[in-house]
Amino acid sequence: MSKVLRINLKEKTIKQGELPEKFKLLGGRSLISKVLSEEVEPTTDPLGAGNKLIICTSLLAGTTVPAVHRLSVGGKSPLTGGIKEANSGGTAATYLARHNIKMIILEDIPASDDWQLLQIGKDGTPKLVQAGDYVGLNNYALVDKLKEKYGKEISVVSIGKGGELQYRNSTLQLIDWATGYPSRASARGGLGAVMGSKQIKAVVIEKSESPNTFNYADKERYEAARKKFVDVTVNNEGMRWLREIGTPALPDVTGPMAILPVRNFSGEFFDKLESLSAETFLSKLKERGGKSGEPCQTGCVIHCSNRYHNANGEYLTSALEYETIALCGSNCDIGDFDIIARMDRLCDDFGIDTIETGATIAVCMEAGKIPWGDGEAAIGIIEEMRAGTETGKLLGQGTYATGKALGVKRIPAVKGQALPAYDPRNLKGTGVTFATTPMGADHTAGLTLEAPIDPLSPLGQAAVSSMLQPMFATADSTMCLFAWFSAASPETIPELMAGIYGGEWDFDQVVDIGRQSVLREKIFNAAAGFKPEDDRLPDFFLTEKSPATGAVFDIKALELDGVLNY
Amino acid sequence: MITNFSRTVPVLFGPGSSLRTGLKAKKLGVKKVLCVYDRGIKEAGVADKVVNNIKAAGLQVSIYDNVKEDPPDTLVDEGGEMARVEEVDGIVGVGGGSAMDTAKAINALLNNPPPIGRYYVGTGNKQKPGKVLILLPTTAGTGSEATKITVISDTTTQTKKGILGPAVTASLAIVDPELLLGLPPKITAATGMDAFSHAAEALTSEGMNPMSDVLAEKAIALIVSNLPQSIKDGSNLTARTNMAFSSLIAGIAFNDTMPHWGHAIAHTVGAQFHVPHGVGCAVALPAAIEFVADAVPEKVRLIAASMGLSPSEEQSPSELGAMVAEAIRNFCREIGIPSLKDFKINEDSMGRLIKRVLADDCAMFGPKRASSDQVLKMLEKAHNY
Repeated sequence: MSKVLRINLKEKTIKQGELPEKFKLLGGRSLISKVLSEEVEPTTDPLGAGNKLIICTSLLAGTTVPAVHRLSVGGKSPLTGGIKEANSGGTAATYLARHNIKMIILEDIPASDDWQLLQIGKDGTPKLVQAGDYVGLNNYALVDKLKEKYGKEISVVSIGKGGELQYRNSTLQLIDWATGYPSRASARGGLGAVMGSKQIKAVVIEKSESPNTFNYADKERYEAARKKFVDVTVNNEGMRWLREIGTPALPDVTGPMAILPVRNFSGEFFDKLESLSAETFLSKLKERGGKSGEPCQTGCVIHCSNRYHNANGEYLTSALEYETIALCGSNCDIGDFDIIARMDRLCDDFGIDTIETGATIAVCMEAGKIPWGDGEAAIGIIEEMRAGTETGKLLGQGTYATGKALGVKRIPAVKGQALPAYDPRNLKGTGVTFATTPMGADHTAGLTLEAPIDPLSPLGQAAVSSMLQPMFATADSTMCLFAWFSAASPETIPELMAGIYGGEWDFDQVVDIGRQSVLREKIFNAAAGFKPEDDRLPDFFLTEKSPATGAVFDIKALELDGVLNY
Repeated sequence: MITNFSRTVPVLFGPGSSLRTGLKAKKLGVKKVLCVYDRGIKEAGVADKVVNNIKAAGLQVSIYDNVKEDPPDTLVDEGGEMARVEEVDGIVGVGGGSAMDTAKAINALLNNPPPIGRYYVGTGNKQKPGKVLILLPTTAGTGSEATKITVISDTTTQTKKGILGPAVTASLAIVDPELLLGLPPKITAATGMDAFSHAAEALTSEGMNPMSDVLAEKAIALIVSNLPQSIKDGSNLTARTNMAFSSLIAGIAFNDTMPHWGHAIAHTVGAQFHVPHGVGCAVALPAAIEFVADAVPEKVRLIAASMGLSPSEEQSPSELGAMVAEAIRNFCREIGIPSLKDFKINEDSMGRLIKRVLADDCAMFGPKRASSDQVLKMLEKAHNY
């Protein structure tokens, strides 16, 4: 049976219970939306006692299906003021699943300064431990020190100083399976600040010593379905690029379509595209002993991750991803992987989101605070945040707050969250998603890059986003997005569900898990004060033509209003 | 606004134009054609004329005459197999939407491995172009001779599926209004409303397109004045010619904008209950127009004007939608369009169609999204026509 740990940080109490029956067919994003809907007042202060931080595994966690051990984190977002779920690979979800822990709920806030670690022992016993010695450490040093104390085999979910300072762009960092570094981020929405408000520096999970005891409803049926799922995944030629290159393959696709953001979403083509091409990326890896094709979690068969080394051949960062390359790179007019990788490392270490940070830097460039394309100056902005100066603290409140303070007119954010790496004029369906998802502008809420429609025409975009958003929410409730889109279909997923949970399933029932989640999130946000007018892109996308394509974002407001109206 | 004007199908138009089928096929380099039609077309004497005409031009002809309404995938595969075995290098489709859509899908299978289900929209599978495809409509409604889409019934899921692309686009359309002269009034009415729906939905779809607007407005105006004439006097060649032209331009109109909720409902009702496509379109269109009126009021006003209505400037979008919807219903009653009740479909069965309507390809193209409740309301209105 799956366990739920409830930790009250004011009382310093830990309650353990079974996962209620009504949550049994939920996981990840869908479980988070359910718990938050039931337990958190939508108008509560995200950094106050009323908010909760939910940490949970996916619906398929504990099974032997590959790439289902994503860790979801959720709460009311201090960045958007709405409901939030962010997830990441790494080792944590696998470790929790082996302890049969489905969910950890962090409640309330300490009455006075009193930092703790949550330690899950080898036998699964949770314990709060004084964390004063660790406060002030950033993630890389923190994990080193924790490994010294608790052993090399631990998994850690932690915040850096960004989370301690309650920056609204702060992350929770997880340990990457391939490299062992805290380089995987549950990045968006400032959930690191929520953990910081509760003064939990880290969750330390020791490796379970007991055998895996997942209770399948029909083992034989499950094994057949799992085999089919794995076969489809590994034989999917369309996803081969993920293993060979990983997401850094994407600038070659998005650049020539002017989807890649350039100079604060100017809508221009990137004139240094070659410097951020897949070929350049792979040659840098080869020169310095970096690597692509790595798994971020144990048992993964997709292997989309990478590690990037500096000019001296030393490890610099892992999983340099498309979103980071675009937001910290082309969007700041920077065409240099070495600079971008340094930015990535600094962000992971300090515990801030590379998307939000890259977008914030570009807004500073637009305001004339630093020159376009100046990599060292861009790193200076991150250093300012790390130093926690007054300016640094403002920058840490995210792109929207920074843009407003600097008087910038073109702030690329929806519901207070910066846009990921897709210009919505030139990939309109994704623009619809950015506008309408309850998550704030979010690429994992319904990316339409592969949709078989003209990305520049308004025709069909709202429908595609409307159809994809429940699908992505289901993926974020069950497994890694790339696994879902490699193999999930009416032929594979219903059988898997039947083998694991029993009963008969059809594909729409599975997708309904995500659909219901999106609907709950919408209701939460409405109660938090969101109006239909919040489901809009910034005006400049509607009025400024993309110089590359002549396109504006021309999906009407009435269309946007109906997107999540199922 | 930046929009697409797709390449249109070359057309030979006018009374008697079908007499040049053989000549045109030969000019397009064809040596052996598969002629695709249904048995009704043969009984009407149209098929033999076309076949003989092609033979007279010195071409070999094989025949596939097993076309059925709402063309099932299984028969497309059967026809495709025949085309391959006979080693034809051209397809000539003669008939209404079912025959032309079957011919289109068979053409796709000439250069692409079967089954046809591989190429449905949404599968992501691309097709190579087919061979020479000549289409001769014998109804004025489908517009299929001018479109880049074919609609096939998926017999495993009981749904209609689209296939898009060059393989299902004609090399030449031969639109001969004389081929319509024997068409019975009921079929004339239903197919005419299919053309009306193409025009009205193209005009109100999300894919705003000034070329489509011009064609759709003209098509509606011509249909309103010529469809009743064609029904009253089936031998009125002027009315038939205007209807053939309207059907053609309505087809071109929706090539770039696509029909939406009315067609999503018509496809669903057709696949579930075998209601003729034109009847499904006719009863669903008013509900669809009412539903989208607040999203595209200016376009609904254009439909009103094309129908000869004079809405006042003060009318709200919903009033305008209701007015146009009622005018379309009245027009349908005038030309004798039956209701779904006439097909012994009861209103309770509408609820179980909702998901299928939402999953229909055309549902993508409406100018606003519909919830399950809103789809049910449209279905109920269609039922209560």
